Amino acid sequence: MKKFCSTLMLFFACIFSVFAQDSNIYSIEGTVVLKETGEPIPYAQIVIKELGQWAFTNDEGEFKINGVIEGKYTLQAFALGYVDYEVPITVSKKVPKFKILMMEDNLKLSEVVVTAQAGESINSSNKIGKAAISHLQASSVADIMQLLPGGVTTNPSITQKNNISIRGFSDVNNYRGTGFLINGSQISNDASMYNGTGSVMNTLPTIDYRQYSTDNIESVEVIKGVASAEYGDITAGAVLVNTKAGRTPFEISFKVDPSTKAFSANKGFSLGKDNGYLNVDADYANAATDRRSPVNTFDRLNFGLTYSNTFNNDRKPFRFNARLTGNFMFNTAESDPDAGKEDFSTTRNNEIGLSIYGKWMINKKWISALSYNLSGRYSIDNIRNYSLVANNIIPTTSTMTPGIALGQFTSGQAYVDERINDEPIYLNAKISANLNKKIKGSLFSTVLGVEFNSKGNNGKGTYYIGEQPAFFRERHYSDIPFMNTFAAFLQEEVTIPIASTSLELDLGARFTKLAIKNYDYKPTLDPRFNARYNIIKNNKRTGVSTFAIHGGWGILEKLPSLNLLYGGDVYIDRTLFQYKNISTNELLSLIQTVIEDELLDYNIGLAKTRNMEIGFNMTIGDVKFDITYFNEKLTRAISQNMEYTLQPTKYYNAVTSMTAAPKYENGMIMIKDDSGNYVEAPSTLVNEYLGSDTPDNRGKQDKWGIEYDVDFGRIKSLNTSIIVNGSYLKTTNSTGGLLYDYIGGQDPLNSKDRFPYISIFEGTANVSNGQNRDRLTTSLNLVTNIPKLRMVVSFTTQFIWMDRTWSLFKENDVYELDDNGNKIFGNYAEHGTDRVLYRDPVAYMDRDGNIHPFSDYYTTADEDLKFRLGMMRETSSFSYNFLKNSYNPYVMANIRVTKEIGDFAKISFYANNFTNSRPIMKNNARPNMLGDRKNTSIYFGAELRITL
Amino acid sequence: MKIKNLLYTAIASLILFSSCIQELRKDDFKDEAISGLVKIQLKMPQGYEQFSTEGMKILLLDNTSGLEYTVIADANGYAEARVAFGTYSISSESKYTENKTISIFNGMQSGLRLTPEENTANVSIDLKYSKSSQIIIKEFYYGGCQNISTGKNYAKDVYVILYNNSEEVAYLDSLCIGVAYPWNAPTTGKIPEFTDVNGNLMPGAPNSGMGWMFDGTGKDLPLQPGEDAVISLNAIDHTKITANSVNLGKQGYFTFYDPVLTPQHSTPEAGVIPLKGFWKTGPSKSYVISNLSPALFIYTTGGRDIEEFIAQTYTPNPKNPSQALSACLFVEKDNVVDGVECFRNNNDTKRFIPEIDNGFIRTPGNGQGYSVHRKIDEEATAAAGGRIVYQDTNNSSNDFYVRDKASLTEN
Repeated sequence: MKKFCSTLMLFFACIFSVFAQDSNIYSIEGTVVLKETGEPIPYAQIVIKELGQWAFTNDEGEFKINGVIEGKYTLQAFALGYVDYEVPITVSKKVPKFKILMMEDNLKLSEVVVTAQAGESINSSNKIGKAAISHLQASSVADIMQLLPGGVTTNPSITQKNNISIRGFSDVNNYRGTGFLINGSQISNDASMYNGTGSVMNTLPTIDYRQYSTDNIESVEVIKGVASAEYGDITAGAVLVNTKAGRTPFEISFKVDPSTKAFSANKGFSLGKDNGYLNVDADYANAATDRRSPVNTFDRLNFGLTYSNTFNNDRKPFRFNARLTGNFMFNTAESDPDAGKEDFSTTRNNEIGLSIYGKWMINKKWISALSYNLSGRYSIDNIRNYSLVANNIIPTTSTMTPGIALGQFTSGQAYVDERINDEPIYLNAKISANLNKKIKGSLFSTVLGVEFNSKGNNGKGTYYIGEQPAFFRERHYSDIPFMNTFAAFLQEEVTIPIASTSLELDLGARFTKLAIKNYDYKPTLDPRFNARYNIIKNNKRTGVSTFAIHGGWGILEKLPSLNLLYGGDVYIDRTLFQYKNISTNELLSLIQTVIEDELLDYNIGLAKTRNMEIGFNMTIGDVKFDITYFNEKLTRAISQNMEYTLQPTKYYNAVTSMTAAPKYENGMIMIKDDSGNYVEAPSTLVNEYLGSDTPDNRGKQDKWGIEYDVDFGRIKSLNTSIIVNGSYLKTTNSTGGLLYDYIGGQDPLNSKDRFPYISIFEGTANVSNGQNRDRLTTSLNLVTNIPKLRMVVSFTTQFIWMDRTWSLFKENDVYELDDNGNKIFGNYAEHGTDRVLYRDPVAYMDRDGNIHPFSDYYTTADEDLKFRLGMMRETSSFSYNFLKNSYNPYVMANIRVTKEIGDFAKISFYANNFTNSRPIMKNNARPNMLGDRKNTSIYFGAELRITL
Repeated sequence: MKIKNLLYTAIASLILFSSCIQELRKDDFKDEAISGLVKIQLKMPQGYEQFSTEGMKILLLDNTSGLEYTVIADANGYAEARVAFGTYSISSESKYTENKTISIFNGMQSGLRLTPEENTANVSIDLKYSKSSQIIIKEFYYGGCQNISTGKNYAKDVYVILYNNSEEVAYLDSLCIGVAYPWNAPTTGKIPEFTDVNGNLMPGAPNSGMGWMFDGTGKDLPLQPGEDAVISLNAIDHTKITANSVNLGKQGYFTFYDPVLTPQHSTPEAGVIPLKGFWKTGPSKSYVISNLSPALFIYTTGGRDIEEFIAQTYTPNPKNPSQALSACLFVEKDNVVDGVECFRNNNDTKRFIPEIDNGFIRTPGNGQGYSVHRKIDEEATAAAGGRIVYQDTNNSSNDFYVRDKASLTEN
């Protein structure tokens, strides 16, 4: 592995040193002015797209880009508040006076973009601009995903967690696999130790997108295809957010909808000539699930401060950005005031972040530019649950040592004040170097980078003020070591012109090594490959003016979260004896404590996907087509499993005699018999199984789909654009491997003892081993903009043609029994049955740890064994279990309007499902059941934005 | 003016008609056009023909409208009733005391519909024979009360009182107590699962969840005539938690408690006698008695020891044979000593056959302190010279009444 990397790097270095002197270098100078008035535009960014070289204009609007290799490129210009500018240029000599005319970005333009555009990278991506985000009135980044092909309308809601999945449905694998980067720093939630209560699968951390408001966003790019090697710790795609930096006018906005009120303000100040800019933004939102009752309220407060400046602008520009952010969320839930009077719970999330990032154009022979990104985030999350609880009086202990010891008793009724303190810390550093070289007419752009991540937690964990529940132990998150990841990536982008076509190749590899105390992870290497073949490019002469084929293939991996590796020691307490006599004030309890070490004796692997996509985009006349087929195979996803060990335990029988006077002596409970002598209390030996959580990587997801985006162009007479997009997506979630399961309870043939066998199933302990889902949607967008009225209206009709879910059916695995008790195998995916469906485990484990095949159930002559094994089969009495739950197609329409009033105000209004089409649709698998209401409920909102 | 006149006429006619409607309700439905005829034939069980059906009362009850009719059967067991249209359940029970043995005959048929299209019906009721027992369920407090300080329901103080209704000493040894499956009464017309292929209840009662027995060798636990045996889920003084509850931690009480099977119950107070948990199914750590509509019954093993009893009565749920949690010990009809069926709604489906409980008792709601208590049989109490004798016709609709507060709160 190491040898391979070093050989590769040496190889590239050799090539460049040999060909280093081959190409000529020039510079481009010019000015950027406003088209209507000629006024210079300071702080505009000029970029040469293919080389990644850039410059910023100074206060007089002047810029200079040095070190440009001769060739044909695309020159782009960006400035906040102005329409993005792009023009092809050929650099064959020094360009002294390049004039760029930029137009103001407002609704006076004849073309306004309020939908998602295709991105500029080789792999599939979409770019969403500020105008589209404000037209949509997104309340969090998650709402923006509706604009992508295949996205379905959702009503904005910040009273519940907002999740994002790219090219996927709502499941935890897709949520965790989506990366989120703000200004190049990756946001992760993997060091958060408290994610609710429940099983391993229900407490995997995912990012809550409602914590981040959208008013300070300049642009969003969503990478859907095979991400290039510089992106790590993702398996699906990534959402890249860029915040505003530069001179912007003072802008305030008010947003309201049936459950939310929001207010935001931002401004970019110029600090003087060559002193850079300071952008300040603040945002406040308040939401309630039901405005009539303040029982559940949610508040969000964001503020941000960005300092940006370019030093040494003339020769080797050094771009410096520093951004300080504060993201706060408050959630208060009171219980029904008519019931438990005093119960309430509050959640407070406070996050502070600092990121320093930028790029330095060095323009040396061995390095063109250096990018850096350093960021740190510190969160303090406090949850408080307060309730008055009346519990039974039972023995309890809080001992931290294993063994048998005396315990105490709980009190009956008490105020329980539960506090949870979770303080995740994230540190991130990424430096990459870029070298552009032209060799024999082909442009080579090499990027070599290193990245270091550290995640940890400084929280106190769960603790109680006052009364503690039975068997509670404190566990400080600050005892958990930090999880460090070291990554290095190498990317080679080659653009090869072949006659009139051009072939772009992007080869990359990412090397990742996870280091955390007490675990030893081997490094992994992920290859990533993307290619685009531009067959016809902007050829206005022929009918087909653009035609390109693109494809990609790569391996992506996602690191496990901190709570999987350090889940906390598990204390299993069992009460062996208890006695209570209030009249004589005798209280005695004997408890056996077993401590299961949190450290797993195996490494939880990284979830891994093999992604591939292939597609083409074509422009015929005015119509643009973009169709992509993608296929992703996720293996080694996190799944739940248990490990069982037999522990014979001596339980003492119940003693309630008034004269027993029990005492604990020499490891035995002694009670007085009828004659007053102390004897050992009678006991029963129970063969108990203790189970411990052993999460593993048996989960799988197979995903494939086709995305299509057709832009029919603008009907000039109506000023309307028609865009039709959508996707077909199918996912299959399943689990492989062997699952250990214990049905629990007493042995039916010997009630004093526990059930003796552990079931071993293939995949899941369920009649079905997985879930399928598919969906075909189309979104018809009509965007009309009327420059004279400075208004844009977009009308979206969403068609959901197919939305099916069905349980995975494995033939010859599921059967029913006929009247004689014989097995019948049927195709239950085609038809239901009125009989009970069965699925057998593959094996069972007895008390000695020996594993036997489950076929013993059919061959054994031992009636007792057969009886017990019969109880271990999984059953389902739902006749429709494997049928496809599907609905006939249904439609919904949304309308959005944005109108500018002069240059200083903008009003937006939207209505989702404005016809309130909520049909009750029959589930085709269960036609006699009450149907389901489809489509979101009608929802509307308005926003007023004032620019001073 | 015109409108006013119309209004006055309308009001006046309404008043007139309302009194008419009241009249209609009071009188018997004599008019053939608005009533149906039910012909009832009672049949004595085989072997008991020496008992006469003459004078047996037959009750016709429409649960939805609340209309009740009573007719008397003749010596042949035949009676006719003219009733309003509706859906009726017809029941009959009567008691005969002979040689200190109280014989009870009861039978029931429900779901008889009378409509204008079908206005006559023939009903045949097979009476079933059962004996009144020594030990009966005197009170069942299952709904819990309201915790004054938290405002929430407090249901940990569930208890049952058994009573010796006879004049001889009874022994609790080897007496078993349990609840029938399903834990809550099936609602909205659903049928319980322990039925035969025709949907009829099987002869017996399915004991679900756990099996509890009074532990003794034969004469260890005597219950004197007129004496109570209190069995609780949590044998502690609940009045310390909420004053409107009961103290169940008293010496001599019993409790459903086993350190291995029910570790989540409160530690019982010293002096309370734990019952023996001899069977359990499912992983639960406490014994479940429904707070809404339990069906409680007491039974014997019929002389068998525990292992034999379990082996012979273990019955998987016919609808879900491999789900261990819904398997029961199906106690034979003759081994059931007494039962009381509690409903949440009037039209819940019965889980007990008529021999065990021919009716049901219903409280207005849970979490308010209600309990169900047997009525005193005035005649028998007077005949016993002051020892309270409770009414036991194996029909909780007649035998039980609802108390606002559980009787032990007054101690």
